[in-house]
Amino acid sequence: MIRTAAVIVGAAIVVIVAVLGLREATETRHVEMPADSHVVVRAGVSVRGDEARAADLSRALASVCVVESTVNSTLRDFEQADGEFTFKVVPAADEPDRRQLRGCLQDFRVPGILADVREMEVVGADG
Amino acid sequence: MMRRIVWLLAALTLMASGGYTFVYLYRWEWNRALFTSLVFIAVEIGVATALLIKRFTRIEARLDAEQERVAAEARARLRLEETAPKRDHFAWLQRSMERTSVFITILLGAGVLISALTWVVDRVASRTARPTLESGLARRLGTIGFPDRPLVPDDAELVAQGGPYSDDPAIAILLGPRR
Repeated sequence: MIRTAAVIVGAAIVVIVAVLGLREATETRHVEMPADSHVVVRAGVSVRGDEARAADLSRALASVCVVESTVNSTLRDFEQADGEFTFKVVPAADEPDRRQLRGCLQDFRVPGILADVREMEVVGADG
Repeated sequence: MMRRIVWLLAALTLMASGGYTFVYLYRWEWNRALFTSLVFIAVEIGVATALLIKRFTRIEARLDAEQERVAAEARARLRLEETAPKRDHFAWLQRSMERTSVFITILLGAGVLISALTWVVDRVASRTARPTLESGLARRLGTIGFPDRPLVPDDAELVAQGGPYSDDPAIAILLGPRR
């Protein structure tokens, strides 16, 4: 009985310490971004199969992920070149949304394409 | 050794897949998080199954040992029963020409009953035999007893026998045998 209670108390302490310790890194804090700000995203892409489909697949992936990750932003200036694509997200996404956008681009299951985000630059706002 | 390596690999896989699940969740990489969590659950089920099988094997071994112990005891008891001299409690009832069987209890009981019976017979005989024996004895001794009449004729008989009518048969009947 005492041993069980000690285990429960110990587990509770570990959970509380872990939550408090990871709070700063894991808590989502959305901030309002300026309307004229934007994020430039540059990602590498590898396509399985027909290379001619790379542009369409990349654009589809970027569109889906922008829609899924941000609420009020839109995709602009999409460009595809030599195993890489770039686009802008206007207005800029805040840090949680950028993290979600990166995760979506690298993980969303579009058959035949695999993206790897190389750069996300916030322009016109404080990261 | 091999078993330890497998357990170590399972533990490492559990830790890695669990950790990466949280990392992928943090990175919003849902599909990878799902995959690593699947790996975590699969390894967890495997480890739990292995632990259960290990426990069941131990229980089974214990049951086998217990069963073997019981069987060994049964075998030993059987051997004892087979090798021990058999006791036949009613051997005295069997007909045998070689030996005479005696059942002490029946002997004792019969002795008590016979003693009681003889005591009763003795008591009854003591009450009834004495008058019969005494009357028989008196009857047997009666022949040597004194006669009811005198051993010598009295004067009147002498006179009658010597008188003139002594040869008369009627007088002889009246007088009885001559003495």
